Amino acid sequence: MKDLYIDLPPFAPDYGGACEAMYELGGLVLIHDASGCTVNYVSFDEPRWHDRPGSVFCSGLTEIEAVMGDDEALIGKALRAAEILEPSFIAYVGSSVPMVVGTDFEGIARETEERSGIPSFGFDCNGIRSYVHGAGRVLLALTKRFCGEKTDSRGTLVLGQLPLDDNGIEASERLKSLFPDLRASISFGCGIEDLKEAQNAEKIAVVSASGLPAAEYLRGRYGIPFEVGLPLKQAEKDHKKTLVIGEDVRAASLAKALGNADGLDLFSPSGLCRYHSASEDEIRRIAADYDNVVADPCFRPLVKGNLVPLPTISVSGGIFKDTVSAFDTDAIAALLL
Amino acid sequence: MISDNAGGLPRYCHPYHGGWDVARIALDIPESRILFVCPVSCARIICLNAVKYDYKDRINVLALTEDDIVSGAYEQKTVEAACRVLEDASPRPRALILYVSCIDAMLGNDHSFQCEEIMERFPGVNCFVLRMCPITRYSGDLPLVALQRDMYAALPDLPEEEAGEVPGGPREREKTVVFIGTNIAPAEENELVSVIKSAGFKALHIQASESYDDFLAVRKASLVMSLMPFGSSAAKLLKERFGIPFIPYFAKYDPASIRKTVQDLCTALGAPLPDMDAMEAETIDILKKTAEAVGDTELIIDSTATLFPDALRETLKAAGFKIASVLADDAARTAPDVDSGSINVPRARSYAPSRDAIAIGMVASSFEGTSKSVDIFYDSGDWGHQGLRSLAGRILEAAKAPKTAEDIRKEARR
Repeated sequence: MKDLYIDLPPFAPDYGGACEAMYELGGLVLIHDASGCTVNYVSFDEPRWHDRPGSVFCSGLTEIEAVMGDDEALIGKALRAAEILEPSFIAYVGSSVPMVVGTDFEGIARETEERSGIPSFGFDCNGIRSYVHGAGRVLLALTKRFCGEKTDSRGTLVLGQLPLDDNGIEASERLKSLFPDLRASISFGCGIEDLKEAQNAEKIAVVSASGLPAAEYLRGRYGIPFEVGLPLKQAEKDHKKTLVIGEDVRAASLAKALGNADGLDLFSPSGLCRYHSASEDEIRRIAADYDNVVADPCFRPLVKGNLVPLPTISVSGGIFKDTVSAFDTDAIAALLL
Repeated sequence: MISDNAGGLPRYCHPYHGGWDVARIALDIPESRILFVCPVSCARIICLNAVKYDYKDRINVLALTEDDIVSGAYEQKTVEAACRVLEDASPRPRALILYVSCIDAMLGNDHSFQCEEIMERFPGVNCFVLRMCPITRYSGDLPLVALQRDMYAALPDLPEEEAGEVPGGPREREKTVVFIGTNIAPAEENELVSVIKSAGFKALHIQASESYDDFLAVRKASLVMSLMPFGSSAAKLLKERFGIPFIPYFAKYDPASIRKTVQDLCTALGAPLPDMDAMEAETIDILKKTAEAVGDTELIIDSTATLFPDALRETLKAAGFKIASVLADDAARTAPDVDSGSINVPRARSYAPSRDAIAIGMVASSFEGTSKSVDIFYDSGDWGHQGLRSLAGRILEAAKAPKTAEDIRKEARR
């Protein structure tokens, strides 16, 4: 049955991706919820919460505020917090209750900006769409707003790198090392100034589908070319038929590097993977045609063949230890039949 | 910037830790299974906890789409999903919990017809609704209070042949004392359990049981003890529905309160009072020795470790511990013994190198960045003198083997 999760946990939602894309940029981010959505994000979607400061808060939405449409309570909290934190921008991020009551986040952001003079954004996330969608919207909006005139053309700008796509901060650090002429990686290990200079990149590498909308915008406005995919080393070992399950760009890149492999995207297809599905029944059926499946350990109940565990935060929230580096194709190939 | 009711600021949310979320508490009902009916994100934290603590096989999710919500189609989808879950489950659960989230409160749904249809198709399965709605925390009972009440409200009425003269009550009561209001059953060596057993009664906490029959047996119990305030509404409900008297004992840490509770229990059961002086002297001796061993290292207590941080502070202080502060978020509502003038509502989280202090509770540990941590959540099943002795052991362990919040988080990875 579609939409019924028997074995899998639900994957990271749009508000998680949206907040991840802004975490290190010095903005004040308010998830408009009662607390459960924010706790979800800080507990399982954001490994940097334990490691470095960020300004993602919960609005503390109450039933009466939701019923009465009391946007002033939300704006007031943001403005009071902004006085203390002096953020580079203010962003409101939606969740499921605001979706039901039809909160106008863009209007709230406009009013906030008028009253505070601080660039403000509203993202009507709803906890139903995928994190790739949420992060993609944020990266596009911030790029449109903050990138100015092009004055230089140097280095590679990585777009779409979120810790959600990896299994921890260490893995995200390793990904950056794949780009020797790295200019900045949005949004991991970067600040708002890096984003404001994004238009000065020579080229762009899109490492997850969340980076695509912003990459297309930068190419359209500044003529910066982009490539989609991870520059992974081609695996040397031959192996039987393999399925790689994950985010579209990541899964397709790994499948290509392994050879004799196909990708299955779980989140938001950019058209690279052979398959796209988040349905347990369908994934079980597709996986049955492969001897090897490279996927998060949560997929084990769906796989009859050889499962090579590759945990990602977007699926299992960092609860599994790494067994093999996601970027070490030879090490992964060694585990394939 | 931690509290949303102090100064109108946004709320800082701590990473969840401890494993006892609303689903796991509900799964204290033996032989039960949960079907979450909600937007996909609401159940993520629940399912990941379930994977982490190895009970995912008891939790399923029907993810609502925007179309489902607008059209109301999920009402029928819920029935179909529930039937699929029950058909596939082996052994078949005896209770199916439809768990809904905040948007359900907004939509004002009535799930009774779905429960009826499911129970008609699967006789022998008790299907009922529980709510995970933090959005209602200021418009009714606290979510954890409502959860305990709704769990016991799901008990079916006694069959006619077992009903007695008191409306709803049983013809014959069993010699059982039921603990409610907590997630974890008291330890066998706890003084309350000892008193109950010495009086010839059975101590029952459904968390420690594997049979749904024990859940049903609550209806015939002789006495209910609510170990924490979370059980207050449930205790009243059990009295109203089945005529079971209750003792509103709350997990306090001061010796005088412990003594009074044990006295009340002995009176209710007609049991002799154990030697409380000796018990108290032993506990104080253990605490004092622990305080000496810990030395000048300060303690920080937070209100997720215990609902009675002030009582704990006073007891530990009297034993010679150095208490730096009590941290409390939204204390007036969740920590009833806290004097609001004596607590510290922190405003900024520390990312500085570790502070040499012992945090009791993981919020204090992560917020203050302490090098030593006692990982307990709402008493972690420890009460009274047995609880205090157990806590002393854990403080000593934290002092000897320092762990930050991050160390503990990483250790919990599978």
